[in-house]
Amino acid sequence: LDPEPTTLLQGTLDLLILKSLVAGELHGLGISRRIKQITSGTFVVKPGSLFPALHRMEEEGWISSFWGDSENNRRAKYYRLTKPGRKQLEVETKRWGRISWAIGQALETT
Amino acid sequence: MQLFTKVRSLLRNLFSWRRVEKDLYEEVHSHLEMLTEENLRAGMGRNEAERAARIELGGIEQVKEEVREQRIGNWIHSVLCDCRFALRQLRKAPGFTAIAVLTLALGIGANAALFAVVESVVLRALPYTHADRLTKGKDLAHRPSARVTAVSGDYASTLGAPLLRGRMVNDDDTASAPPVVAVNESLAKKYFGNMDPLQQQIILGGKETGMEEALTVVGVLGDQVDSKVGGIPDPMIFIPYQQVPTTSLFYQALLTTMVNFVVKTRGDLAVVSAMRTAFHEAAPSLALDNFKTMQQVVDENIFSQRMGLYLTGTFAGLAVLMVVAGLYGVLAQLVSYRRHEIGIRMALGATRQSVAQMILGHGAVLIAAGLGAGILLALAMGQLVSSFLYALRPTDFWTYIGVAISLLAVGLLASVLPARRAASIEPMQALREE
Repeated sequence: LDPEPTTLLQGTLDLLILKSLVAGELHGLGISRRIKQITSGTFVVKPGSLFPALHRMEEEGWISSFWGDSENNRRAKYYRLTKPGRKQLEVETKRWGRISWAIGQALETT
Repeated sequence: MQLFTKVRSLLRNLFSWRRVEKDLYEEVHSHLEMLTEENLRAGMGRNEAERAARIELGGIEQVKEEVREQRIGNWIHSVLCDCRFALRQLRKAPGFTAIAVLTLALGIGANAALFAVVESVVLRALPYTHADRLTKGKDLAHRPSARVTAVSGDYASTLGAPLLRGRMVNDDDTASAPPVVAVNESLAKKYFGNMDPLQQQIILGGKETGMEEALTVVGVLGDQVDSKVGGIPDPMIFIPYQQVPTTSLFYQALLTTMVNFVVKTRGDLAVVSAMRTAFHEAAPSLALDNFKTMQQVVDENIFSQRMGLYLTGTFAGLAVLMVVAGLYGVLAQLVSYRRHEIGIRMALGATRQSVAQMILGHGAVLIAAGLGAGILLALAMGQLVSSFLYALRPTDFWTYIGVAISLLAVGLLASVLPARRAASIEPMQALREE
């Protein structure tokens, strides 16, 4: 059963994209499918938010891109993590840990 | 490192715009095809697969526009595009453009010209340094000069001027005593420099004025605020009034000009009537009038400067109002004429921001044209005015720069409202109206 897709929190998209690229290079659709997979279908990233995020992150230097062949021999633009990108992933992961802990605390308080 | 990456992206975005665009086009299309293939594999028919893929993508142009807005330096590129577009549009409607530019030019030109006039007439009395040293007929500008005041009584302490060196001249310096003077700090600094001013000799004009004897400096007073509030204090010489020779020009001046009496009271006393009575008893034939507190004297002095500022402010305000109203009217009309076109643009993927920028681009081009024409107009007006107004400098570079920059800012502000209105157009509604 697919859980209901949820809108992404501001700033979470970057984290998910970085995380999806840890295992290796992916093209846009691959990233989108991988995020769906690793979040068990909770987050479905539409191209309208995915591509702007990818281009912004590439300009930030967190990911780099190159043209390659897809699994069906189609030309596709692939993205991979760069060194600053890995560092950024650590930063974002820590930040997310703090946020989720804080929200959890807040919700437990009666 | 991070900065380097960003600069490289900026340069690529600005100078290889076409390549970046082609890349984006290909990426989005390959994405669309992969989506379609995915749907085909899931067992959809060809048409259905393509349709579903397009729906998931959500509009090729919209996606591309969203990406463009993320690019570093995107605004530079879009500002250039908007200005080029505005130029083309305005060229197509020359009558409309001419009127818009003329309105702006009048506002800007009037502002610059008026400011130049007020600036040179009021704010800067004469375009010479030390204009006060110039005398009609003779060039005395290069001779040492000072204001000479004949004083009596306890002048220095009444006015609260501190005695820096030596002694102040007083009523003991009678006509038969050796002639002495006190000077103020400005004079000592200006004409004696590092020398000790005390015991120096001063000749006030010699044969020309009838003051042939050299006067010995016996004291230096601190500078006081006198006639020029806020200005550099004039060099001053204080002569004991008893030592002004009756044969000199100075004596004539003493008799014909008004004599100022300064009274210092302890506390806030009503001294006017007491002074008038005392003066009347001592010299029944002379009138004593025009009583003022020192504060009033100072206030009157800076009145003309203040007046000038008020005038400038009013003129500038009017001209700015003209520019704002003109530009606002023109752009608001432009937006209402082009509702339909803006609706089509939005339906094709133009974002609200890019529509607003397009209108701002029109505003900027109009202001630029208006500024150009306005400055030419101001130069012409300045030439005209300077032919009958003395000492006007019609081409004060910084005045023009200041006017140009402030009007540019004001003009852009006036464009914001029409731009926002354009951005808030609902495409469906605008398209249906036609």
